[in-house]
Amino acid sequence: MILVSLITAGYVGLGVRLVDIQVLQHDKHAAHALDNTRRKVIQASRRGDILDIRGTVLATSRIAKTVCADPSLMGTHQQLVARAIAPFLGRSETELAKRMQRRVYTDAEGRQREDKHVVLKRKVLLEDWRGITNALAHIEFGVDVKSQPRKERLKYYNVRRSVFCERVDSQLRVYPSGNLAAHVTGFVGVRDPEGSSVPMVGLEGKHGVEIMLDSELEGVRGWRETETDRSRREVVAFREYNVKPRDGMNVVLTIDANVQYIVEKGLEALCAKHTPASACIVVVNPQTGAILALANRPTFDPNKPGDSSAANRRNRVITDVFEPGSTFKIVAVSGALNERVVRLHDRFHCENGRLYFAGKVLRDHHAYGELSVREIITKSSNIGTAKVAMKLGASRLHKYISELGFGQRSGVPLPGEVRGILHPVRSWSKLSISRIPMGHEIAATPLQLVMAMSAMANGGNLMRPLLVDRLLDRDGNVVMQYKPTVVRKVIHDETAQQMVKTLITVVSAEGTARQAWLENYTVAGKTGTAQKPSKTRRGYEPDKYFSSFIGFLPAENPKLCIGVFVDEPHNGYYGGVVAGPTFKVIAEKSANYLGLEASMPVKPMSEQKPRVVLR
Amino acid sequence: MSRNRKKYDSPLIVGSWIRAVLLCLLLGGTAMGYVWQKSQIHQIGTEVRKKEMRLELLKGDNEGWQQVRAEMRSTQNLYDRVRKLGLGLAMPQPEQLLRLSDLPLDAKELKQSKPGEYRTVANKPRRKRP
Repeated sequence: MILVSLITAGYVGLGVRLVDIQVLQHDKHAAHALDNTRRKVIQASRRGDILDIRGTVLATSRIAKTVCADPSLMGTHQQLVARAIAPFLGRSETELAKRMQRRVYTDAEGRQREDKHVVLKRKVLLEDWRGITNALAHIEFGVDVKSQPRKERLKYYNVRRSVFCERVDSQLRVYPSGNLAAHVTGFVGVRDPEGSSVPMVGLEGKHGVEIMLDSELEGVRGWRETETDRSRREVVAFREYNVKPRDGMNVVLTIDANVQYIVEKGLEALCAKHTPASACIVVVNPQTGAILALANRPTFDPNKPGDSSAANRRNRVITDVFEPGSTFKIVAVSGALNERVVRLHDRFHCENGRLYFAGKVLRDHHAYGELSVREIITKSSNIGTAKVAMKLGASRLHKYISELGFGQRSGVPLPGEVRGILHPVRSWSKLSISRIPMGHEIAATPLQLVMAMSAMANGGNLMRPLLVDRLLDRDGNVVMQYKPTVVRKVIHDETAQQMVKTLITVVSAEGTARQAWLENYTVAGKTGTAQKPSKTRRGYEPDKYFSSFIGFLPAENPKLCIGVFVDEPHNGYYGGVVAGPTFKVIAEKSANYLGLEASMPVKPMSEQKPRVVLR
Repeated sequence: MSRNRKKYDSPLIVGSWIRAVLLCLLLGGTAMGYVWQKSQIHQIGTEVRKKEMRLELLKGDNEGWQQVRAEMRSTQNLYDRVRKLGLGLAMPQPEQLLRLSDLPLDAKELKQSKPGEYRTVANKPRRKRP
């Protein structure tokens, strides 16, 4: 009787427990069971490549793994595991073994927990991960594992699976050309997963085109809802949703890697000779506004952006402003010619190098007497330019300055572009009309200056800088083609032609940029040598200069507009002396590379003296 | 009568047996089929998984080779190779370039070419002799 009662009670107890588990606690256990088997896997999309106009890869991506370890499964075999995987991770055995030591941490609720997820290295390439799994599978423990009891065998098995990779793949961004066009391509960083409900391990643009076209490059992540078995292997039959990732688009830039290389080499040579605080060069096609090359010094390697300072990563072509100096004289003179207040052969007296105006003295570097408007540009006379500007008037001068793009962003798709400084006419002092035409009391970015010079070269159209030529999908189909855009027509064609003729004389024996003269191409351009404003007191630093030369070629049908800007050069400071030779080297090599038609008939090789070309 | 009854019963029993056997076979077959189908699904799933992993590895390899190709084609690398191998390659000089300007076929006047300029001339079909 007692036995029957006990059995009955037992059955009743089991029944109650069954009801408790299956009915009362159903939701909790069902969720737990589901949690054990259900997996939501995020599939990373491949970040698109960045290519130059000829298809040279400037940035590409590779799928990579984040390698982790669970020290609780290792027992005392940390050193052994470290020895096996260290060659693939590029870390020392000691460092890895130390990292894989068992440790506890206190969670948010104040409980002590063992750390079972130690990140050993991020961005490990697939072939290295394959090497790691292979090395772990063949790890030697010094005993015959198969002959061990089941419990012991399980321990060794756990050691082999103690190193694993995260479920979501990461990517490794590679810049095969190193620092070539580093300020254009920019670099990437790890996406901040803060505030995201799903694990989002991915790359995020941090600078350059990488950040400006981040959404186009990134693509769309895929995801999969599936179930796993006891060994955490996916059971494909239980896949419910499987949304494939859509890879990011490839971005084709207007940059030409070869021209960029020529520019980088020219810039290196310039920096070696003049040791400036910084220097930058921009090469633009004046007809389209397409940027063919853009380089800065100091620079950085986008493969290791952390190794460089923020100053090195700054794209000075658009983020730094300078008083441009004499290169700015083209604005006042072109404006005056366009308004027909002066003609090229009109003559102005240049006061023998000293003009008293508004209580201050305006000086020329040489004592000039009477000069024509053309000669004012050729000789770069400050007094002559000031007199031309006075004839034009402050409001019209301001109009031409702003219409040529100064005081506003050019719209180049790069981060951090500044407007420059252009004060409204009402804020101008009496002196301003004599100072602004020669590039003082105004600040502009190098890119603004090059685009303004391009407007002179192409017949008076201010172009929007074009950096991205097209977007391609993974199959190479064009998704978006960017067209050259005319921002506005600033000066008439005839005025532009007059300016070109005038600027050609600058690069002649009488001009300030004879060092920029080329044998086979007619070059037009303007030099600039500006003293730098003092940061500590009023006025200018006596021996700090900003030297520049902006020129274009062939002058009659320009295909290249090159701006060379040097901040605080040593061993000379005149724009023609510092920037001119670099312009010459870059212009000659780039024109030869692009196969530009020579401006004048070229002597056949048989008639030329043999010469050695050293490059 | 009882004989007759037996005569009549016998086919009925056999029929029942046959039906029972058929039913069992059907049930067994269905069960076997179900298991076989599940096994096939599992097997195909495993194969799909393996192939996906293989595809992933191949994609990784492909990316690796693409990177190698990109590095080999990088401007810096090409210039270094030219220098290292002493190939003496340089940009073409303007005097080394021959420019060909194609005249339209219906151009009536062949202008005198400039010195240093080379022009292609369209081949005119020869007149047939009468």
